[in-house]
Amino acid sequence: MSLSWVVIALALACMFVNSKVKFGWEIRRMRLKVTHAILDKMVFANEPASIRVDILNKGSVVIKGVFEDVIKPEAETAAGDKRVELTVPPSTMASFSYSFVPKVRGKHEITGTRLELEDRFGLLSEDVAIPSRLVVAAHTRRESFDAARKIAGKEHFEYSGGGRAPTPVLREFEFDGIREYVAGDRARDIHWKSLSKTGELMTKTYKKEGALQTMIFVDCGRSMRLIDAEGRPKIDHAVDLTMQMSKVLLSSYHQVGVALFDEVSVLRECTPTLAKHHFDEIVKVLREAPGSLMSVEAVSENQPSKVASTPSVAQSASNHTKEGGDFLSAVQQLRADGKGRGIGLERAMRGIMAKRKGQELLFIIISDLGSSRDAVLTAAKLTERTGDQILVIHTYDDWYSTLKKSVDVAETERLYGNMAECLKVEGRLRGLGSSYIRIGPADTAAYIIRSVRRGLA
Amino acid sequence: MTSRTRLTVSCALAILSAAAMLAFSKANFESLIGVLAGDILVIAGLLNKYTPAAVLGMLVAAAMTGASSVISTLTGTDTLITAILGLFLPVIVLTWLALSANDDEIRVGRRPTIVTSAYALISLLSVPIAMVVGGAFVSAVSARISTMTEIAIVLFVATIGAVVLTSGTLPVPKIEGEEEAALDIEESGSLSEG
Repeated sequence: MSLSWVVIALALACMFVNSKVKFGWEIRRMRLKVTHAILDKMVFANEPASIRVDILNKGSVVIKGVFEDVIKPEAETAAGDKRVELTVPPSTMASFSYSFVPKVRGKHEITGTRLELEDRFGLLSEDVAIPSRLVVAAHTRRESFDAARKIAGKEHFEYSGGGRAPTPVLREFEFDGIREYVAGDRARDIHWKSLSKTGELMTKTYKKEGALQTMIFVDCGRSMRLIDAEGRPKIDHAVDLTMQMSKVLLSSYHQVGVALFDEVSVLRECTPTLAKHHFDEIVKVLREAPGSLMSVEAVSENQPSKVASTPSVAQSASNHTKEGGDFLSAVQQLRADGKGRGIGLERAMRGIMAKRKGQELLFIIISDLGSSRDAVLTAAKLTERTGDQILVIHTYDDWYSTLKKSVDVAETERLYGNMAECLKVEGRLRGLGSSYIRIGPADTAAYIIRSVRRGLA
Repeated sequence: MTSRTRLTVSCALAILSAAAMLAFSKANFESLIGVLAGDILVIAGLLNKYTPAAVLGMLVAAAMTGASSVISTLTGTDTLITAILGLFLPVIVLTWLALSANDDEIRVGRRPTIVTSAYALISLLSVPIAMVVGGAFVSAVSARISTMTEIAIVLFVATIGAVVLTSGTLPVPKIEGEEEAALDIEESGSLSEG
């Protein structure tokens, strides 16, 4: 029996020991700094957003490993790779870029970078989480912005004719007189009767009694945010409509403000004004609208075995406690005030009314009348008392959810019951002098504006 | 050190290791061919930066040397020198070269080298140390121990040492991350202009 095999085994064991000790030694000397940067000026939903990751090795050892960015919720990579193998020598910087497609509007979080290190033998590996957080707030889709620009030049809320009963908005414009036609006047302002009498083109002029202040409220309550597996998020549609309508109103020189509210509070708000870059402000507010939430049923349909670990469900569960706490504190504050100024929507409306300076106000509320139904009804009562106008745009829940393949009797009864309930609410709102329009996912801002102008709301 | 110089040094080390293996072993023709073939594989792996070939070559060379070397004890100076210079160091060097065939630079830390050297030294000298300790406490026991006992002592010490040195969790690296705010619309220019 020879000791030579033992010596060879010892040599191999020495290499293994050396590898492990050196691996720990290298990790201990590792000094890394990771920064993220967004390369695009604006990030839109459904379009690639480019991210650059800079890795600075401040330590004295070479770092060789696989770097991978962690994005929540999971986003599809469009170009490049968010997982790359890099060797970073000491005191140098390495970078890699990739682009991902945020599927939905809202905040997309890069929670950090994961670094997979491996020792020389490949026997040991270590996963290191590098907390380099970056929040990418994706705007709504680019087409929605384009649509807003297009309809801003074409659509308008005002009704120019004299014969019909005015709708809420058009009372601000009154017929003033007739003057000679000047090139560039709108065709709808031409006084055709005088053409037949005098043979000359004449143009009707209108005087503006005062700039109409409009406040658009977007319901961001839980019911607005919940979607089923394939349905379109109501909150996203509401955001698109708000942006497009505010663009139309601003192009007609109406002061517009936007506010996001939920069951207990106003999340973000910008007051009505005609400032130069006010549309930017509105978009900024709308960008803060919370993203949609997948309903539990939809999640369990998609991932039956991973319900508990799904981020959206886990997030909604953790938000539950916070929202509950917010609600209780809001109610306590309401009781402590004793002034009956309300919470959420009502409080915001009262705040706007207090600053009106004698102007008539128009409130446009986009809501599914789910969790905020009572708040909207209270708002309608309030405007009835104050003489202001209110337009409720109802994102009807059943039209946004996917219809079951086989509609049975129970389902039909449910749909019928929902519609009956909706009609009741509509009746109550109209009884309070409110305008009301029920919309589905296919309804555009142009359709809503036309309906309002024609007095169909 | 440029990559060409590094490659030249690596190939020279591989040849030297093979020479040391052959010089200290009682190599016959078959083992000579085996060691040379293994060494050529290691050099080919180094030239092509292909680790699996280099590792295979290292294993072939080590196996052929192990088969042709006869080391009956680690208590004698001559056999100890033969074991260290003819077997232990060449295998270490060949393993090192084979495993770093794909690496662009050799990373040697002072602490890991000291720890590994101490471990190797203690393991190789474990038999003489055990005899000295045993002789000091139990002088009546015969100093003569069998090869099998020597193998047992070396393996026992090597195993205990490896377990002690490789157990425990790896340290947490110092990493800085930067928190950045969301992209703001002011940075992106005016939307109204569009």
